[in-house]
Amino acid sequence: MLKYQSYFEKLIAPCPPSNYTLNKREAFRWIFDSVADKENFKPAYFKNPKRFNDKSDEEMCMAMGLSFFDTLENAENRFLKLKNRLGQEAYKILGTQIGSGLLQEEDGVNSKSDGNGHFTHHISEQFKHSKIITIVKDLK
Amino acid sequence: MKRLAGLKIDKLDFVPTKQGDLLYHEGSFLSVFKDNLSNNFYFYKWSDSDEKAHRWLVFKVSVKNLDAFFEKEISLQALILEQPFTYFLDLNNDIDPIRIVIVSTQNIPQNYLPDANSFFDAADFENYALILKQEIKKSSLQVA
Repeated sequence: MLKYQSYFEKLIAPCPPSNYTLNKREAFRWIFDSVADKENFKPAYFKNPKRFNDKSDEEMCMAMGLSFFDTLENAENRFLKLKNRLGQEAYKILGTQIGSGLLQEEDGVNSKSDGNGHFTHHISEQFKHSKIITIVKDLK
Repeated sequence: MKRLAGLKIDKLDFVPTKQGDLLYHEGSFLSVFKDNLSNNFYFYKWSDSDEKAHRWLVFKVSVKNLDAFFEKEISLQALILEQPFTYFLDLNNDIDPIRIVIVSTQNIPQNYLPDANSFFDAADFENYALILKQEIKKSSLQVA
């Protein structure tokens, strides 16, 4: 059972999309300071649903998942590209470190990686990501 | 958030309607709006945040400059610096404006500016960028 299933059911578009799969994969995520901080693993939609009022169901669904990258290099590159356009305060909103871990099949479902190596992970009810994520790189 | 040296105003002097996002990661970071009255384009660039609000740097972009940006002739930083003034819009968690300040471009805090080489690259931008690029190209041809 996925953790936010009851929210997915309120959307008209299928959420997660049918091409999401259960698979074991290495994952990298931008995080803030402590891996123990639950906010690091709270999907953007649940931090502030009103930010997504103008979004389509597909975009809202994606915002109910967590963003990961498939390699450390892709995670760092995408961060630097966004910081290049946003300025030095980007650390405040994107994160200060890269955390890594191995997602197991029982942890949830994943999209395919896009051209930047980004994929969306919809978490399962029982899993606590903070148990597997370790900090592998400082972004500052 | 950083203190802004500028003039506090009650409301924007245009009526924005969101067109789409250019940069996105778990939320919008660079969005395009159009003024309902003049049809001028405005960019909203995320610049800062605290527990109460997100701060957006809002600036006008001419069609000519938008075309130059998509052709990589002008950077995002240059688009901003070319304007005599910009707006800073602080939106609370209900997406209501709690502060609007007009700031002379020379007084924009350095940390809020993109890098000098912040050029457009389709690989880094959302699909909407390509839609807008085509739209701009088409309207430029019509004017020519």
